[in-house]
Amino acid sequence: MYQFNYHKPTTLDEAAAQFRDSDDPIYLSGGMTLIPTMKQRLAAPTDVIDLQAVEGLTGISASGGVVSVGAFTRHAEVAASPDVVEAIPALAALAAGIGDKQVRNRGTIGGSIANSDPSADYPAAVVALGATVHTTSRAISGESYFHDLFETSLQPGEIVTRIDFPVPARAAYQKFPNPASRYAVVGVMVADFGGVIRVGVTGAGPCAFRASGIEEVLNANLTPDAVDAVEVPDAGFNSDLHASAAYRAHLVKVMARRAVATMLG
Amino acid sequence: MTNIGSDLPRADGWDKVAGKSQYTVDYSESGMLHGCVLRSPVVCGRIVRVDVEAARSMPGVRAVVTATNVGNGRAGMLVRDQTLFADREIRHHGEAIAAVAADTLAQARAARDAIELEAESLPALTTMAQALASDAPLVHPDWESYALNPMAAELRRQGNVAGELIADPDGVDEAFERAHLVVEDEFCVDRQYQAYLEPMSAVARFTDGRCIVRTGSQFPYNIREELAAYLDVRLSDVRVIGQTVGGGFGAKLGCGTEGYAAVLSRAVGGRSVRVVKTRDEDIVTAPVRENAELRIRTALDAEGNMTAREFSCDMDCGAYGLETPTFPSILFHFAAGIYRIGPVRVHARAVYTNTPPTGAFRGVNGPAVYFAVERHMDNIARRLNEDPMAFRARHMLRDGDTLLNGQALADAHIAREACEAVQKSLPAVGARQSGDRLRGVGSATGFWVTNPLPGSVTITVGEDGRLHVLTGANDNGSGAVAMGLTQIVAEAMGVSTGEVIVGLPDTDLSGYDSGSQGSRTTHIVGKAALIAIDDLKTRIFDVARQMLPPGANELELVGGMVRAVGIGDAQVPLAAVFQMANFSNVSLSGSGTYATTPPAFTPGCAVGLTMPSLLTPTYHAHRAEVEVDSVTGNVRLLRYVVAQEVGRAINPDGIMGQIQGGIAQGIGFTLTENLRLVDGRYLERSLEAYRLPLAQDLPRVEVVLLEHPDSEGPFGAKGVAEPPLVFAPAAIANAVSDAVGKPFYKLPITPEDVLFALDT
Repeated sequence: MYQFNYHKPTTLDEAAAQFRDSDDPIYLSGGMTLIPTMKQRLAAPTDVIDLQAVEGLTGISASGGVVSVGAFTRHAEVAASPDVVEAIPALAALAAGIGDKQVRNRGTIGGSIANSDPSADYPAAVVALGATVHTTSRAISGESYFHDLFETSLQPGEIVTRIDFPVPARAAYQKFPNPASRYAVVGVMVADFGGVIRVGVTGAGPCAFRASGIEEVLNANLTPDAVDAVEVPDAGFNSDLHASAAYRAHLVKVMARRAVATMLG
Repeated sequence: MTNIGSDLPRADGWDKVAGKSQYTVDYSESGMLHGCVLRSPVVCGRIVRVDVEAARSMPGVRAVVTATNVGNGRAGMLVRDQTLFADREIRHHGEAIAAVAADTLAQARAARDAIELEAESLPALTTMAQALASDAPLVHPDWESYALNPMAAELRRQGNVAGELIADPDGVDEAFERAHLVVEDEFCVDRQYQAYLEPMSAVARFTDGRCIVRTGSQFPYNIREELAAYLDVRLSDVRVIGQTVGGGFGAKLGCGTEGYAAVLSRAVGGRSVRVVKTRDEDIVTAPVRENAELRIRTALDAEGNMTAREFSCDMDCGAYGLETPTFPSILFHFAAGIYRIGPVRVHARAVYTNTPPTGAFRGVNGPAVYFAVERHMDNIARRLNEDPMAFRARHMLRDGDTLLNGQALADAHIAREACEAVQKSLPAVGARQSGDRLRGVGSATGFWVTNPLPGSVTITVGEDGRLHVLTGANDNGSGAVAMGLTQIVAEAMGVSTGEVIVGLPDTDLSGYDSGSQGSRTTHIVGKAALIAIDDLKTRIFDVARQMLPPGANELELVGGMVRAVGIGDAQVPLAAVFQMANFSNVSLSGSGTYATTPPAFTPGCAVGLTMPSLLTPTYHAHRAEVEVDSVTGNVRLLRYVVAQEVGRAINPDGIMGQIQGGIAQGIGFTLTENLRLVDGRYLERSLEAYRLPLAQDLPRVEVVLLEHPDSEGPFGAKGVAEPPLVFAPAAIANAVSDAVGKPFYKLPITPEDVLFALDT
């Protein structure tokens, strides 16, 4: 590690003020990405603002067809939450499959979506379930929230406070994990909102996206086989040491098919 | 007789799992400085200028050293082809250029980053094909002037070929001319990183003119030898003290950080300096498993007998030899597997390239050669429409048959026994396909050896009767010392393992040992301990006789007591014997040294043969059942069965751990792990990018231990540590080939490779 200023605010206002008053600040949530990035010198902020003591960022509630998850909620808490397990079991299962136990006990949902790692699991759910991302200044539709590799709609200083997930009739998430990190080489969530199918994909492109082609065929014919008819071009997909773009395009269909099969039971 | 064959806990176990063991990175000395190394960003080139002036004047910096001020001592496991720092030539990415010692690590790193390196890049030989081209420049233009270590006396070298083996027996061409069928295969394997938890690290200082180094090395006596060569001092002016080893798997046999810590300490007037590699640095500079290309042709007669074979192999040494130049000799011994084949022609080369050096990794060369031999056996069986195991059984060596070096294999039938055991546990797969999933079974069998090199032990009875064991052997984590040696000493001395204390090696105090390599420690050092105990017991009994009633002629050691056989319950505790001995001018300690006697072999069997015979062979069969996801190409191990001949199991639990760990590394080598070279640099530079299999990727490993006690081994024990990894790649690759219905020739077999095979 190297020298930086460490702040531990207890309110969102205090955090925002510290952010404003620093040269090159960054918010710290669970630290599952930021700390390794700093250790590798890929990030060198002057000020680290640790959000763990900020009140009101944790907790899960379910009412009126929406599951609300506080931004500072750990993955393990989402996975074990009776509200989530009851309302959106696919979301609980997704959270239970993130990284390893240590990561799930530290990492937070807000940190994950604020970072927008192309291989993170949560973005698939945010997109597929049409979640609303609440921040210190506004509410952002999940569909327009992710912009690019590590880029979101968030403005400097803006903090994600909670994510509201509409409860689908049923849903399922399937991923092909990286053997070392358990990151999604490709992950697909399929959700059924009373006959309207939404499909969210993570891992394949620079950021999570809706697979409209797959949605179209599934809206016409909700079977695993229906996915076979879709062309998933690999243009713009990630190609790296873990998998080629062509293999990722292939996996999008495979994971979508398996998610549909799982969803239909 | 409760210490042998018992699952006794290891002495170092609790501290290890509780995080209390002291590794070198946890060890510091007063006034200790921190060192780090500047490594070449260039793959191949010539140093124009190294400017260290700015670095030298930075805060906290105590010394900056380069090739110019440390001298040019050369060292190496076989060929002394390596210097601590690149002098003029840079031969690989990551080669050391300079080192810095400073008050803090941050200061050392800042100064390192301030060193100005100007290097002219030259065209690099990044593949073996480039290095073997007739007009290729030489990686080591001065190769002929390099000194050879005694073990390398027979090494055959020429230019970029760092080691070459040629065996050309009569009758090969004739057999191929007469052949009814010729089966020919080409295989290719990639580099594998040892991926131990503890990165390489060392603390060095100079006291009274002598260099004292602490390191978690697998082979402290070799570290001493290499350091003496690098420092250009007498061997005995270097003292190496072993630390707890955080895993090594062959990578920690030679100097990693020790030389840099030592030259930095010398440069600062003897103050202690600690050097610890970062993970990235460790990956780039570890002596990883060699990439290799292997070609096998086998001639068969009309009855399906193998009448001759040609086997050629090129293996990549990287820029320096380390252990790799001797691997062609290892390949030679296993080129026929464990089968009756006519004459076998072998041509194997270790090739210098401008890539990071390769070296020893558990089962040196074995995983690659058995992958090729045993995949080839499956392919032959398939061509003949025979069951692969039935084909193997039909051609397996029989007791007394000779190996390629002319050495007779007295107990080859044990391999047959192992094959039968794994087939019984895991018969043929039932349903081959269910939905998207394909299932297959694959096997591998053969023999492996126990490294015969010498080891020694001194055992002393302490004042309270406990036994202090002094040995140069280090436990690399396998339990060979913490369980194997400890249980052997306890058993022979008639005490519980808690009465046996084994210290860490110290080249000033303990006797010579050839290191934690080649599955040798339990067998060799255990035997040396028994020889020491013979000596010690005579002394103990001579003293005890004076303390026991007259007529106590025959004595025995039981429960920490010297007991007179047949005279009631006359006995005397070891502590009392010590007291008596101490005042009777008798030293209550015994020493033993042991190395295996080599068997007879045919001297002219090959040229360039550095290891002429195979000692203390062990026999093995592995059988794996895999499930292939035909849609993603992913491979999952469903079952894994091992039948392993161990001589005598000293600690079955410990052997189980060795087998599980070996299978894990075998799964990695076969399915997920490789360091990919792109223009001479590795693509994988972290443990996240390097795909090690995780606990949840491992099947439950079912083990059948076969015990055929060795006449020389301690209580019959033979080496057990390497073979689980040696046979796993062949068994798994055969299973995947079986499931997919297409042969696989290249490791690792990635999901994309599986899909490609299914699509073509």
